[in-house]
Parts: sequence; C-alpha cells; structure tokens
Amino acid sequence: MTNSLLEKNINSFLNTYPKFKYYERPKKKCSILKGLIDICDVDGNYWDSFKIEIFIEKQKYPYCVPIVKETSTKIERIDEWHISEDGFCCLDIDHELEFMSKRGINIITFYQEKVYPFFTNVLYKMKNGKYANEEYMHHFDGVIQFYEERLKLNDVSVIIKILTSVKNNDIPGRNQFCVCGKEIKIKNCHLGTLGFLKSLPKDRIQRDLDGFNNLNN
Amino acid sequence: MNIYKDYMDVIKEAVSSDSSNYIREGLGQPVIQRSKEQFNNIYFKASQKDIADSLKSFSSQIGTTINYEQQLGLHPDFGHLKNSNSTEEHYIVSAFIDIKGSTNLFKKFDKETIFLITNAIQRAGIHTALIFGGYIHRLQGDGIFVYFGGKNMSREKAVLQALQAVSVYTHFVKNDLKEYFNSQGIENISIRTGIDLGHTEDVLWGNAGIGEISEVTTCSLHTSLASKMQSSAQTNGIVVGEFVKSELENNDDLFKPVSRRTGNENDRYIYRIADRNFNYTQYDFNWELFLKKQPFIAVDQFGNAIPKANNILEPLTVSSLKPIAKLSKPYFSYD
Ligand SMILES: [Zn+2]
Repeated sequence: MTNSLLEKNINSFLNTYPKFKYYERPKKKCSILKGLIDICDVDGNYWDSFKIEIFIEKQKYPYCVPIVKETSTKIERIDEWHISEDGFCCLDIDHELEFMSKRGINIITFYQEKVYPFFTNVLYKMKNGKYANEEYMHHFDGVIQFYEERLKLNDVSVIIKILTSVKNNDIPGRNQFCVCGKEIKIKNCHLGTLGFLKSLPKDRIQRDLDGFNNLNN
Repeated sequence: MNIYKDYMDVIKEAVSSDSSNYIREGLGQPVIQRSKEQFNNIYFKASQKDIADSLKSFSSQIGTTINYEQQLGLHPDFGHLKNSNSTEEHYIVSAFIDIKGSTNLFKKFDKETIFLITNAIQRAGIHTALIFGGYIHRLQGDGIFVYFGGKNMSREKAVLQALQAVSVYTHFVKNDLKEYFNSQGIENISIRTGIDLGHTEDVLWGNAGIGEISEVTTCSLHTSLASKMQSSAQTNGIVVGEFVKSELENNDDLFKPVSRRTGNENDRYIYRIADRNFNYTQYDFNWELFLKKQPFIAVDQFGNAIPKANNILEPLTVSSLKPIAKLSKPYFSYD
C-alpha cells in the first residue's frame, strides 16, 4: 500500500469493525472492505445485518467517495429502495458526497455518518413502511429539491446565473454585487452557495446547468 | 450490555436500600435500617439459580444446554474419582477470574449491601460461565475458578468457549458494572483473568483431601500457571498461556506477549525449565477485538459490542432506530 493515510485509517477501521476484511487488490483501482454491517438501535438492541462491500479509490483517498454495494440481497432491487440492480446504494445526493470528498473523508466517519444511517434507514423502512426522514425525489427532481432545500434556491433563472458564473470561473470579489442580479454585495448574498458549488466537479456543474436550462425551454 | 440488566437491577436495589440513604434522609432522627423482609427479598433475587430473563434471551443464541446440577469441586466427567484412589489424565482449560477493588465498597455501603452486590456479581459470573459450557470448580472471595472442557468436547471448543465466556464477563465488569459504580462514587472496580490449557499428558485428575473435606481436582502445571497469569493481567485484562493461543488459528492479531506491554523481557515467559528447554510464553489477549468477531455479538454504529439477543421480553420498537435512520436522506439517480 502506498497511501499511508489510507493504510492508517483502514487499520483503525478494522480494529473498530472487525467483522470487515480488507482486500487491497494491488492491480485494481479500488480496494474493498467486505463484511457485515450489524444494525443496532440507540437502546443497544441488535436488529439485523447486511453483507456489504465498500469500494475505495486507493490513489485518491481521502479525496474520494467510497461506493457501497449490498451483497446479501436482502434489499429488493427496485428504485424505491435506492439501490441499483447490481446492489449499488445511493447513500446521498451526489452533490453532498462530492462536496465531502473535496474536503477529504475519513473511512470511519464515512461509515458512521453515511453508510450506517443508510442501512438503518432501509431497515426502518422495511419495518415501518417508510423512511424515517425524507428522501430526495428521483433523478433531476431530486436535484431541484436539493437546490431548494440545501441552497435555498428555487428561482430557475437565478440558479442558471449562479451556475454559469461558477462554470466560467467568473465570480466577482466579496464586496462586488452578487451574480444573482440583486444589487447586494456577494458577502451578504450568495457567498455560501457559490462556495459550495465551486467545490463540486466541473461536470456536475455542467450537468446541473443543462438540467435547469432544459426546464426553462 | 442489556443482557445483564436483571443483575444490575438487583445491585441497584441493594444500593438504594443501603442504610446510608436512611441516615442521610433522617438527619437527627433515629436511624432506620433496611427491613429484614426487604433484605430477604433482594437476596432471593440475587441468588436465583436459573439465569435471569435478560441473559436467557442471549444464551439461546449460544445454544449450550445449561447444567444447573453442578457441584463445586466435582467436575461431572470426573465425578467417579471422588474418594477413590484412581487418577486419570485428561486435558483441561483452567480460568481464574477475579474481581478487584471490591474493598472500596466498604467505604460507602453496609455489609448487607455488599453481601447482596457480591452475590449478584458472582451470580452473573457463574451464569456466564455456564452459558458457555463452563464448570465452576471453586469460589474464592471475589474470584471464580472455572474449568472448560471435558470428555465430550474438543480442546479447540473448550478453549474457544473459555475465551468467549471470559470476554463477555469482562465486558460486563469493565462497562456496565464500572459505569454504575462510578456514578455511585466508587472507583477502581475491575476484573482480571488468567487462562491456560493443559494437554492430556500434563493433567492428572484425582481426589484431593480426605472424606468430605475433599474435591476432585487437577494436578497440572497449567492450572497453576493460569492462576499465576491472572496476576500478570492488567486492569480488565486477560492473560493466556501459549497453548491457548495455539488452539486459535489465524488469530495472531489477538495475542501479544506480556513483555511487549511491560517493556520488560523478563515478563515474556511465565515459566521456564532451563535444562529441558521449556520456555512458556504468556500473552495479553485482546478480548475486545475477539468479542467483536464473535457471531453472537453485533457491532454497532460506533464499534461497540452488542450481544445478539432474542428480545422476547421487550419487543423492539422502530422508534429506537429512528435517531440513526433519519440521518440518512437517500437519492436515486441510476438509469
Ligand atoms: Zn445573490
């Protein structure tokens, strides 16, 4: 293993969660953590387990988004369960995951905050008929929802203006007027939003821009 | 661990009826003591022969049939040696488990309370050993001396079950018990254990003592070493002999020579016979890691060991899953 941070983090992961094994796979892009995720509630009761695989891009770690596959096939392979036919799980909207990876992840924190809640939520839905919280709408409707909820943006023309300036890397200084068109300084307007979007990959910005442009046509 | 809830409840009841509570309440009043009836009532619970309900649901996962008819100093497979002149060779795993720091209890509680607490802790220990097929050979003060193995059990299984029993019990003392006592202002309650395996050619079973002042016991270096290794163990630690380690294949990550911890090479071997080239290593056993690998243990969100129990008593409620589940907001984008 050449990535010493990964090596260190994997070792402490395996110490904390010894029901997982690590497969380094020297010739492949991703190494894999394979094992059992045991779902226990906040009262210390055990409910059920899923067999999962976590794919980690060795060279990019910690700047990557691990991909999670459910292999016990306890989850029905239909859209409603946020899982692909091959068992890949949609842990969160891509924007949030990409934002995390930009800042750098820790595999233990990722497991605790993204993987574990996802499977607990699946179990919750299996027992209770619906998710504990909400879910994003599927496909581009979910992206629209994300812009509305997370970025507090619902005016499509404003979104397009903001995305365009991010895409063109054409963001004025903090004390200039905001790109949204309001005559307010950026620092008092969409500074946070611009900061978030700036850290997403270029192709994500492009895809969102295309999506919102299509809505306008 | 929820599985020890009933045992903890007895301890809490004993503490809440301790005379110190009455003295505090009745400032300047005549001291009221716990009634005899109250004492008997708690004592009855603290000394129940059968395993408590909270532990029962766990034991059904382990699947051993519990033998409540054991007698101290009379391993059922060697009972025929009682008061006879015969001896027999047979392998055995010896485990010495000792609760430390219980003298601290005398600073806070009256002797009746301590009597009840000690009984409840010991009962939890006995029941844990029984669940994993152990045989209680002797009780000494705060300690329990348990044999694992016998005529119808493989050595590997005996070693495995000894390690499982002691790990579960150590987890209980180190967490549930300690947390509660800390909340009562009592520090330093801990547990230490030594375990060793004696192979058949090294263990002689026979009757020791005279008449009724006797027990069927083992004469073996490795039984003596188990007791000696207990004093090598660190707080809430388990030290095992080399033969124990050998029975657990592919688990080298669980064992480290004691000398690695102490930094003193003299602590590597617990026993040496120079002219026979016998150098017997003692190991710190990573019971916390071991426990989390066991099929009867689940590992929760933050890596804590949670016993798998069939919750017959209290049905599970989804509302307890909700605080974790609601952290997730899934999205679907696959085409
Ligand atoms: Zn703005």
